[in-house]
Amino acid sequence: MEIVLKRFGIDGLNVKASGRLDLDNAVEYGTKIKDFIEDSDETVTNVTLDFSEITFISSFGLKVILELYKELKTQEGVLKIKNISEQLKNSFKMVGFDKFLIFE
Amino acid sequence: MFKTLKSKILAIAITLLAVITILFMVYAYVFESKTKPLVLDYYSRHIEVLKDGINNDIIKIESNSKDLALIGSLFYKTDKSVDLTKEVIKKIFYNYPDSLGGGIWFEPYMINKSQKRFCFYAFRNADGEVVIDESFNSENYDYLNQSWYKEIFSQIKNKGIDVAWSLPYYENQGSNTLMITAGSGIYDDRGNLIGISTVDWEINSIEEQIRNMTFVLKRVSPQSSFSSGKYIKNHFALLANPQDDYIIVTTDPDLDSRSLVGKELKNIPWYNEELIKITFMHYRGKDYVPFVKKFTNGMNLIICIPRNEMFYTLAHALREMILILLLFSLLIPAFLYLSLNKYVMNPINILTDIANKIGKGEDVEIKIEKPEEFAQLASTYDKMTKDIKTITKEQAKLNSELSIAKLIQSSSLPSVFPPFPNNSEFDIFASMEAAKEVGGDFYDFFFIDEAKFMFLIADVSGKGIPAALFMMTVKTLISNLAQMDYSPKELIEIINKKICENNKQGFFVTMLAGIVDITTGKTSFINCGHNLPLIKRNNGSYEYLQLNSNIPLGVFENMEYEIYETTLNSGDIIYTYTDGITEAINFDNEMYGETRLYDCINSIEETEPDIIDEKIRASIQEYTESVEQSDDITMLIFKYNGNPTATIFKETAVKENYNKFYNWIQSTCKNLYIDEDLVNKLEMCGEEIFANITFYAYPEKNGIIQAELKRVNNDIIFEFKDEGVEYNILEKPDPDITLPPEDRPIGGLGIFMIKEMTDAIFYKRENGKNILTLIFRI
Repeated sequence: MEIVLKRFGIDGLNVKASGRLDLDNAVEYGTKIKDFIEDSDETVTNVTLDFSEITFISSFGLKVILELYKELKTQEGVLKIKNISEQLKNSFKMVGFDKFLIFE
Repeated sequence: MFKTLKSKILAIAITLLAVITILFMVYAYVFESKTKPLVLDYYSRHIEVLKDGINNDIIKIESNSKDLALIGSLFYKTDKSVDLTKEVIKKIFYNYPDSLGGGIWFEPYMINKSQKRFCFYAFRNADGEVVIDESFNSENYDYLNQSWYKEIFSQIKNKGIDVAWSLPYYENQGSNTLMITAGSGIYDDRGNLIGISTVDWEINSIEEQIRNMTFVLKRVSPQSSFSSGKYIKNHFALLANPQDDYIIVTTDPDLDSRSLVGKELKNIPWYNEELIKITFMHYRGKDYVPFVKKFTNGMNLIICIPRNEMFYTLAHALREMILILLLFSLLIPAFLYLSLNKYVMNPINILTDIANKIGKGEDVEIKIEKPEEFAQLASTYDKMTKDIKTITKEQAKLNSELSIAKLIQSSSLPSVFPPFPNNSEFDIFASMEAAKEVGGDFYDFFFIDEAKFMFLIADVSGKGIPAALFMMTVKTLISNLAQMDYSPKELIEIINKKICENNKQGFFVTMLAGIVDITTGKTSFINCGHNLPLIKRNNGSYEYLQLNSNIPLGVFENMEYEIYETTLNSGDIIYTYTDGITEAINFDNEMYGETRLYDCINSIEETEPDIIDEKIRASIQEYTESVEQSDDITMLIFKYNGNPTATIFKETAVKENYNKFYNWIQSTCKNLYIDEDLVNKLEMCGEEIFANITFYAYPEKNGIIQAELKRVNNDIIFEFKDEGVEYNILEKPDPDITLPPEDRPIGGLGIFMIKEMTDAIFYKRENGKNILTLIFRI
């Protein structure tokens, strides 16, 4: 899974990945983001996940997203998801994540 | 009633007999009525002869009487020569032998004043000599007081007649014979009556003549070939004088003739004056024919002849004819019957026997020599039998050729089912029940390439061997051309072109073909003027697939054909057939029809092509009963099962196999034509369960995960099996998704999602296996 992490602004991080967020990749995806945040010199509180090239998200992926959200929440950060397909958005809705996640 | 020839001929014989009888009756009647007058005439003439004889006697007696009177007159007028007179008298009697006697009698004292009575009397003695009886002159015999004298004298004197007849009387001088006396008057010159002459007539002789009267009738008619003589025995007669009303003599055996002599006629019971007029009289229980003859002196002779005796000969002749007729009556039917038996029935029976034997297939030589007609019939029969044998042989040969053609035709059609047991993508079943004749129906199916499968059903116009041969050509042509790399449209157009090229007989072919990509279900339908197929899609009901109909193959060379493209889904069924089904007729000549077919197929719950085939055939059979099948009954049923490749995933439950697992899901979903949305759901659920099994089912050592994804009607069934620890996801409580994200647990999401996404979940533990079934409704 290719993941491109790009800083923007003062505290922003744009994460663009392609492929499936499933059992195989979800953990890797989450770990990479967390590691990046931890390793960065500046505090990252504004994370945007670019879903334009994500084709599938399973409960594992959702779990990772929830963990990331919780993590950022403790630091008063924001988690945004952009370019998500309706289909994947439905998966978020199904588990009620649409109530706290910000979709752009 | 007269069903047999025998009875008919018998009836004719009886009719003939009746006709003969009637004809005979008529003949007999005519014969009798013609013969009767002849018989009567014969008797009449016979009696006339008798009468003439007697009448001659009477005339002679009267003539003698007159002669004697003249002699008496002469004696008185002349010298009264006694001797001479005696001689003359003797001479007269001598010349007249029939007379018994007679004489000349004078009134008292006429010759001699001293002698009161004077007479001459001559008679015939026992020796036949005529002698003068002198005793009558004696005083002892007072002739003047005799009744005959007084009667005759008074008659002559009173009536002035020449000859008078006395009443009959019995001569009492010894001979005691019955007599009647005729007499004439003797006159003197002045015309005074001075005496009478007498001639005695012996009646016995007349009686005798009547009694012995014979009637011999030898022939009654020239037609009767018999002769018979018959004496009339029971006739009787009456001699009487009706003028003076007295009976002379009667031979009626019931009457005492002696006592009746001289009595009035009323003493004869059967006598009446009408006798002369009537043809017969009834007397003493018998019929008599009376014949009345009058004599010159006023006497009558009446002879009564019994009718039955008189007509005996006639009756006899008739009787004999009846006998002959009876003989004929028996002989004619007997003769007819016997000859019928011999000449007609026997040959007929022989022919019947022969016909039976021929029917059984025996070899029989037919030979009848007589009568000629039957001989001819027999030889015709013989020829016919031989002809039939030849024809039968030819027929048998032709039949066997036909059945070989039939066999070749039917064996050229694929008949092993299932034909492709390794291809679970589809099921196919086809059958052809040929009519009595070789028909033109056929079906075929084959792979064009690895993925494309072609099936077709067709009906060649016409019947018999030519149609069958053409059908074989077309079938081969199609299967060969199909192997080339043509598109369906190109293929059908080139098939049409080739058929046209090879079609000099003007056959045409209706065909329905389908080319299915069995991996995708993509199908091209081609309808060349054929019956519309029935299609069951997405588990719905069968409906007629409204394909645009192209014209049949083999009609126009350069035709464009329209192809209908569709995609079959798993479970779709195509039912194709020929018009032998819809046009199957029952006893009322009504066709099975499309509606009945539609109803029938929709009543079939089974989806296996062979069972559908069987049930539709049964329905047709039930409809047509025993009406002979007039056309081939052919059907082909194609059921698409979808691409079942790897519908089962079975691997070790390790994370490394997850990639394989989701690839399997994706390809299976593609094969099952599952839309993206559902694929997504299936993937999510599949992953969760895969992870569950991988991470929790086998805590100690790795085990197997088996998953199966299939489409059953409108459901997608996703089933998992593992041999791990018992675990029922349904017992896990749902997470509270309304909690704020901070409070929400990380785990439990997956199972919750499964429950959210599926339409039904079943779990069971069976044989140490967890079996989890997820059901998604499409």
